[in-house]
Amino acid sequence: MIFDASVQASLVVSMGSGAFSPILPHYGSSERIGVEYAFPAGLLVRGSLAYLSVEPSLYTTTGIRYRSFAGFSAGLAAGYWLFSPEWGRLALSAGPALSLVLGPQSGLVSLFPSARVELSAIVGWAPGFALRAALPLELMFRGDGLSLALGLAFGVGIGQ
Amino acid sequence: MMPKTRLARAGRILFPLAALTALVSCSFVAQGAESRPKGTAFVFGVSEYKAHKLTFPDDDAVSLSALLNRRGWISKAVVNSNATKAAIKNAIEVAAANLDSSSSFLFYFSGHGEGGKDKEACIIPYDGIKGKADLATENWISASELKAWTAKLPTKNVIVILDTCYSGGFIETGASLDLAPQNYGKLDDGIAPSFPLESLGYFNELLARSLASKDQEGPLHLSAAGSDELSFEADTWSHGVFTYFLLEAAEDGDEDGDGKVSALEAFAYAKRRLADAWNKKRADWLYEGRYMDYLPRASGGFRDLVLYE
Repeated sequence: MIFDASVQASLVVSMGSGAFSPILPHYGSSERIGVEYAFPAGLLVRGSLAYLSVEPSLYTTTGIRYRSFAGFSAGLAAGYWLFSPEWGRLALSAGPALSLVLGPQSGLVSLFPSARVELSAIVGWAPGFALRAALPLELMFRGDGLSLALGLAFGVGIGQ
Repeated sequence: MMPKTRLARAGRILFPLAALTALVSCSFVAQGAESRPKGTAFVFGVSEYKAHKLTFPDDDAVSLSALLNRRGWISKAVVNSNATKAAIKNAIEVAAANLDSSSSFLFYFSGHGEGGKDKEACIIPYDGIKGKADLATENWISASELKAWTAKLPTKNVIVILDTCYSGGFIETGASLDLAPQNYGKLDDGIAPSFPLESLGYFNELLARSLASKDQEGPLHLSAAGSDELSFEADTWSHGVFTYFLLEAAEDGDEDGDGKVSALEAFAYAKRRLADAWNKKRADWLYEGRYMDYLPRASGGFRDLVLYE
């Protein structure tokens, strides 16, 4: 079992609906803690909790503003080791997440589900310590549109 | 001076990707540099009821309409005896017949409102009061009526702003939830729960809203007060309190500095100013047996609309 903490930077693309459907690029960041349990057969399960923010607010040509938000996200995932050399492992995992976010200043709270696929690498660096890197792809179902986030995360882990 | 009530008025960390984002933003947001078509606004205000008169709603409507005309809208103010139920319905029907899916539409009403814990919220047009004891309730416009009328608009870019008592009763749709209690105030039902832990108490409603995608593109509602609150006008500002701060938001409400003030930016500004300039002094003042502090409410999802360009 590995406990890890990581930071992630993302490019978030929002897609609205309607004839003037916008494709708007925001950027996102998150700080995440996770726990991952690896089974000997190559399966893994992972739970994580993150603080995420997406900004800035952006306007479409028709005057619709897709606003920034920030909040917390809890996720679960299951996956498989693609490679597991002596020095670490490369894994692919996927699962759902639920985010509770707050609009800036307005006090409006929203909850939205998302689906997350992640390619992660864990490299042992000292006994009981590891570096973790991940390439997550997350689809956020915001109800009035979709956001797709492609990120890059780096962190450290303890455990084995 | 004692204000007059509207009786029932009703990446950090993201250096590499930020650069990429900026690059991509330039190409996409270039579309946004084109000026969008002007929106259509109908702005109603009634002070001169036949009884239970108010002082400033007609001024609210005239001032807001003039401001909107300067800031990206084609707006018409309709006040006092012209602001009847039929006129309001007709304005929305005309808009429904003439707008298209890319248009923006704004409806504003300032005047009396009615509602409360067990009543559907209504706004009261000019012909909704025929005498001191003659309330022509058949001419009141309920939340469900207004919703049915605006549902016929061909665009989803609709802003509804109500400066009346109990106007929070018009707020029901949207992916987001305004967590302030409907009768705000430490001496009333309390204040908004803190985010995120206390707001988890609203998990079921938030989840239902998240799943009810059908309603998430309804009008963006801004209301002066909760569904169980009075709203006020004040001689100090010569306007309805909420409307005064909405007007002020045109100059000072651009929180993200992008040169435009969205409806939710204006709302956030007005809410903060109202809390500071009005509520702090009046949390324990009583008017007709009710505490005078109140709070604007909003509904909507992740999309917001330009209010002032």
